[in-house]
Amino acid sequence: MAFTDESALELARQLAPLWGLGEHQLPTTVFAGVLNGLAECEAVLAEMPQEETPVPATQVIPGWLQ
Amino acid sequence: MSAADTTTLGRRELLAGVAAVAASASVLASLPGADVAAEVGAPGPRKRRPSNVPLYDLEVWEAADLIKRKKLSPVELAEATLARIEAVEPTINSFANLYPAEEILAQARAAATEIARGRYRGPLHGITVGVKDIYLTAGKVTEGNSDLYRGFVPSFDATAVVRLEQAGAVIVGKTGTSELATATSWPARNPWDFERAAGGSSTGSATAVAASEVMVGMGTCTGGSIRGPAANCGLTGFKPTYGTISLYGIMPLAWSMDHAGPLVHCARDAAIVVDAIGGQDPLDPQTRPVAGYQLTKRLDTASGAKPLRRVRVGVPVEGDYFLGVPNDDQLTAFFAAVDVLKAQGATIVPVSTDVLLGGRLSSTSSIYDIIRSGEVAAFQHDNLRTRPEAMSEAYRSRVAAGVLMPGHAYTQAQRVRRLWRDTILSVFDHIDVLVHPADNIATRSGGPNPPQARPSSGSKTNVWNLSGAPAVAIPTGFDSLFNMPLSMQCVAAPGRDAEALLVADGFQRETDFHRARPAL
Repeated sequence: MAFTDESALELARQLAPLWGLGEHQLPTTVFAGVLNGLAECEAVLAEMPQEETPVPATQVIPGWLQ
Repeated sequence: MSAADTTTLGRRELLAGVAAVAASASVLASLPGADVAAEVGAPGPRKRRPSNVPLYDLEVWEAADLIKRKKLSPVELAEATLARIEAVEPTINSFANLYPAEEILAQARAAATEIARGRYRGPLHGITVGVKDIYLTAGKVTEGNSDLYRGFVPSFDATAVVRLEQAGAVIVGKTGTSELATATSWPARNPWDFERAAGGSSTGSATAVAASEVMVGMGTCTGGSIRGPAANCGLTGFKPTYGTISLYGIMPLAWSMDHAGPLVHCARDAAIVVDAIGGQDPLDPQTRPVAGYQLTKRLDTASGAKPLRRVRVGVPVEGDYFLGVPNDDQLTAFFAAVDVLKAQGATIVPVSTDVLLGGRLSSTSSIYDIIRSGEVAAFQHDNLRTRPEAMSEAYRSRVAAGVLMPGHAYTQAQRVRRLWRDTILSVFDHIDVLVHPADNIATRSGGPNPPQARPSSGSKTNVWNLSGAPAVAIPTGFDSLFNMPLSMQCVAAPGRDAEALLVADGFQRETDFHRARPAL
């Protein structure tokens, strides 16, 4: 189930103490998009045979275009 | 009354002719005026324009030619610029830190002296420039519109600033930015309509150029912060290939998507700026291994009546992501622009793209937001812990999301980014340049706003930050209801910046939208 800003904030409240963050340091926006984006990224990767999944793009411009 | 409504002679004629979008080039060709090509030795045929253009309204290449031939002194240009700033800045509010007049004139005098002695540095010599207030400037307050950096005075210049100075540019001041290039907006007014958004985050650089306070506004772009305000303000905004202009000494937002680039009036001016300040920088390991660029030379080699001959221009097919823009005027102007490109000799190739990976992604933000948050958190997590009150809620959310997201999220996003990048860039296997309309027209809080015939398919700008491809936004007309600028982008494969600019320049040789100025 997709995160909303509210449900993401609730998760942030649970995680924040682990990183020494308080109520005034929580993400009220963006976090839901990040978590939902992660779910989509993982779904894309899960559709592929693991041996064919890409390595991270650590170089923005591909070598074949440099 | 909007600024656009009060546009005066020359500009008024132009706007009257193009108020309904997609005015044909033949209408524009009827403008009175001197032949710029004859006056300033422009390469290739260009449209006529009024001969009584104020100095501050010139394009860079025009002023540069006059300066080089000693027909115009940098001091005259600086004086005209200062008078213009005095007249319009109280209304427009482009600058976060306008340098003292005496300091600006001193730079101009130094340029004039050098040129008089035969040491002409190149086409930025004596040209007025505004620099976004996230570029560090030695001895000058650099705050990035953030309470984190109130009163911060850097001890060194960003490489881009060093190179501007080496090119002989006259730096007029620091232009307003959204908070650290992403959050709280800078309160500048759009010169075309004071009530409509100028766009961000390179807000002040856009409004300063649109209001003719400077000829070049240096910006940065992580998700559209050059091309967005360029579109809103009727400018040419160029995000070159990732790593073209050094980011050393520029406050980062997200390293792997940050780009520095210019906001100017035309594509040729953008090429001039990149030629002057682009190139490998040992202080920025992300810069491309290119000693220097010669983009202007490439534009100048395209001459004759068909400057785009042998250039394959991709146009998205119906239903493609890149045609999913809300406003019909934007689409109409785009297709009229494609007709101009065809008339300039381009071979038009219908193309399909797969931006959302066959529907697996709901948005490019599914990748983009994770990477931005992960990278900005790496830069700002300490400030989040110790000085959260100095961040706006919007900025804090970006940083905190990056701190709290699972550790593997960033890597997963970068893995999908590689897959996605190779998919999106494959469009350039068959074309040289992709053109597509801008997504939005400058909005007014509370309206009225241009009608939306359909929902947007998603960002048309962050696609090219994620991929690193060069993209230039250029004006294509004005919307039929509010006379606000319309825009399209010309995009090429990474490293093919000259091709993107060539198509933009080919369009601008035949049209005058980039020469329209708001009446202020």
